Amino acid sequence: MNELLYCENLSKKYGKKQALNDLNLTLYPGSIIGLLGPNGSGKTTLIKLINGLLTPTKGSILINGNPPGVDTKKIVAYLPDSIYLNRWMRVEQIVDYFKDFYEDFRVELAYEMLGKLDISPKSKLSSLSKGNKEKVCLILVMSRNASLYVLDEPIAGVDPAARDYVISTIINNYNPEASVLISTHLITDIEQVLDEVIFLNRGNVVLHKSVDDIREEYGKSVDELFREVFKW
Amino acid sequence: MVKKLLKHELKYYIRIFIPIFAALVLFSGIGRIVQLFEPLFNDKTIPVYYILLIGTILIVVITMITALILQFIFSIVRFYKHLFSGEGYLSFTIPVSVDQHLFVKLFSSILIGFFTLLAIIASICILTSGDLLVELIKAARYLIKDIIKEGSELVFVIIGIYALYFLVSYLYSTLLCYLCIALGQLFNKARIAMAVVFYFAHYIIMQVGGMALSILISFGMIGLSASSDISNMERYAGVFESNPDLVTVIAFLVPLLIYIALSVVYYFAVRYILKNRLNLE
Repeated sequence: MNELLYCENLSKKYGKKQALNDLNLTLYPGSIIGLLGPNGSGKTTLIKLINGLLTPTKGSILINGNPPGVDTKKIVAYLPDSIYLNRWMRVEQIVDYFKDFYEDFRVELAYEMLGKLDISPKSKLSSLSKGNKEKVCLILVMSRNASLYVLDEPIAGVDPAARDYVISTIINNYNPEASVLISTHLITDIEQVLDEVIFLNRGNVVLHKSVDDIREEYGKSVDELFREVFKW
Repeated sequence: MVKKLLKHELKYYIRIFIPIFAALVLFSGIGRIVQLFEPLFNDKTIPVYYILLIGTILIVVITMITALILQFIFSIVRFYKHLFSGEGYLSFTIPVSVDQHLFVKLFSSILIGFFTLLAIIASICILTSGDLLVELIKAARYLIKDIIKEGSELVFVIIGIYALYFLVSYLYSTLLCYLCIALGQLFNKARIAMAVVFYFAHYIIMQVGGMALSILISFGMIGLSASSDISNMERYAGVFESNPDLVTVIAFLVPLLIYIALSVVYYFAVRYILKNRLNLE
């Protein structure tokens, strides 16, 4: 199977602070992976490196065999942990923006999902509630037919009811041949949909296993194992 | 991708500048309408007419200056917000290269500057429409005819250099602001304040550098005149005396070349930072 994401000795330093330290990681298509770790473990740094928003201090990162750049941005769908859309734009203008720049963007699917949430395409982003803004961001990302979806804290800012909506949107709309990398602290909410988990600590991978293997080997849920590994 | 980027860039500018251009045309129209009422005023009431006329012209002039200033400010704000604020997470994850981003930012800024100039010309035409506009066009025609009649070969070169100088100095100023913003975002706190610090540091360096250069040139000239080869100096002076336009060409060409060189350096510095030192909040 072709490697979708390949990181070799990947390191990133911010001044004196080592955010990632000789990280090695390989991901293959067709699975939903939880990127888990305490604050400052390097999750967001890794996500930014995958998206070409940072350059590594050392090591290499390849997505479908290519270093982050124009070619990889065509196949990676990224949801940052904050609202990144232009607030003065109407929803339809943002949809138009995605349609223009991403060849894999499915306009009909985006409008269908927006319709289900009763979000008018004419509404300005600034007029939407925080929860709806986050849902619009997620809808746009999941409307892409990407090879790798990278979601940074997609359920952190939403209420428990909305979390179910977010998770079902991810499950129902991602390309089954693709992989979804989800960074989150809310493990119990997302554990049910994960195929694999990556535990990140101090910039390194301390565990990368399938959820089934964890249950079999440790006799614990991912959440229980996480609490044990990262106990203070 | 460049076309698509440009489309969205222009949408941003249109949203802001259409109301400004409309205000410019509206105030000029009001100014022109005020002029049509001149015959209704008599000797006693004519001061009221002049107050109205001067008032409307003043508003038009203020709007013109505001449009020019805003045009530059918004092109800088757009660069910062679109690339370095939260929006940068989207701008840098669309499949577009850094060069394409920079080209579109610069091109759209020039384009909107050009449209601002057109709006100002249109505003002047509206304000002076009728006999006054005809007289202005006639005066301009005579001026151009006179220049051509005098047979100055360099006149069109000078006009070309003026236009190029204006364009290059605009690009230089824009790229300088881009560079200061790009340098400012390398810091984790007070990014805009750091960009302002870089701008003033650059200003001081340029002033000191410029002064040092002019002192060196002055000393060089003194040294040359003090040397025995006076005939060479006289020959140079003769060339300039017989062709005064040449002085203008040189006076513009030297800073023009400096601006071009610095613009290229700034462009590649911004490009390097965006490619290798991006530090989004």
